[in-house]
Amino acid sequence: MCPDHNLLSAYFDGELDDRWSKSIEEHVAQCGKCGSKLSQFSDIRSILLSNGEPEIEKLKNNAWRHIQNRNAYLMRPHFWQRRLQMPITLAVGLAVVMVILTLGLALSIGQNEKYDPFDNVTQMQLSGYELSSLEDIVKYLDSREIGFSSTFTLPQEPELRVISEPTLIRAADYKRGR
Amino acid sequence: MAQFVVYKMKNKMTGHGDFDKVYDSVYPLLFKIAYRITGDYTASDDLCQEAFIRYYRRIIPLPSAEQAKYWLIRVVKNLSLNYEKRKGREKRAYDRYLREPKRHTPSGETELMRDESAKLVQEALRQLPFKLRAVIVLREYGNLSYKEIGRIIGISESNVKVRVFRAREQLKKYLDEEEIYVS
Repeated sequence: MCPDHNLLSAYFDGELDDRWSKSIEEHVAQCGKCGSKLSQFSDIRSILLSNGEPEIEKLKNNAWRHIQNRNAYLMRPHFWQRRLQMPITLAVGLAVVMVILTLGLALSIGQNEKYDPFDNVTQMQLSGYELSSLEDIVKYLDSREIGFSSTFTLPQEPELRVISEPTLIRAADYKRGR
Repeated sequence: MAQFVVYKMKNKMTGHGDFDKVYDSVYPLLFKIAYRITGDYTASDDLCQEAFIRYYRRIIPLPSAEQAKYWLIRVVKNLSLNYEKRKGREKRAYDRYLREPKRHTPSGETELMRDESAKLVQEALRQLPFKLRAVIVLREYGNLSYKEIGRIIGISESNVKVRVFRAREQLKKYLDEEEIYVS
């Protein structure tokens, strides 16, 4: 009985263990049909390998260069990892310029941030109101439901007289103690 | 994990000593496989380069040169089959556009004509389905055992055996049609 052609193909490739190989070898020696099948496999292999191999060595060297270049590109350091080289004199000069610029910037910011109490002064016309005392002014602001910091400019030469006990301060003291 | 990182760093610092060795020993085999699957010299070179670059960029390096070899063969086999599928789609679209029937390889006086035998072999391989083509190429040109082929493709040895046989049968049928004598 002839073996399956799958088995013959595996036998041709040397993939069977010794026991199977030996029995198929014996069979093929006396079976023309199986011998012919093995010859087919052999012919197909010969045809597949008939056109030789392409010139790989030269290609291999060229490909190596391309791969190295691409790998070097892929492994290049990131922008923040790169090194910068310059002469010491240039580095010192740059450092001095940086220090001067930093100091100048700090000074200019310091001047700009000086508090000026007269900045953003809102002038209000209190027309139609008789404001004779500080208490009147506070009452006026309360009536308008205005909440903001206010600066009152006193006259250049104020005449301050004690009229009576300041009720406003007394009321404030009373609340704080509550 | 730390061990892998150290390995990778060391490898990079020493200029990929293993990479060089793997490249030297595996490139010819990879090229043969890519070339027999695609039939295209330039494309095979590109595909091999792509495979090696993927190998280089692997985060976790392969522990041995042997595993690297199987990994690279698997990658180049997949890249080559994908290339063939893409090329097939483009050719079909091109044929549809020109309203022409499927054309065989042009037979002008070109460099390709210098070796009719090479053309015949490539055409014979090309008419095989992908899953048979990959197996027969790995067997005949890669000279790999059924076990190795199964490992690369991810199928059992008995499945490899069946595919190799079917590939041979289909090749014989094609060669008979082309009136090439096979005993």
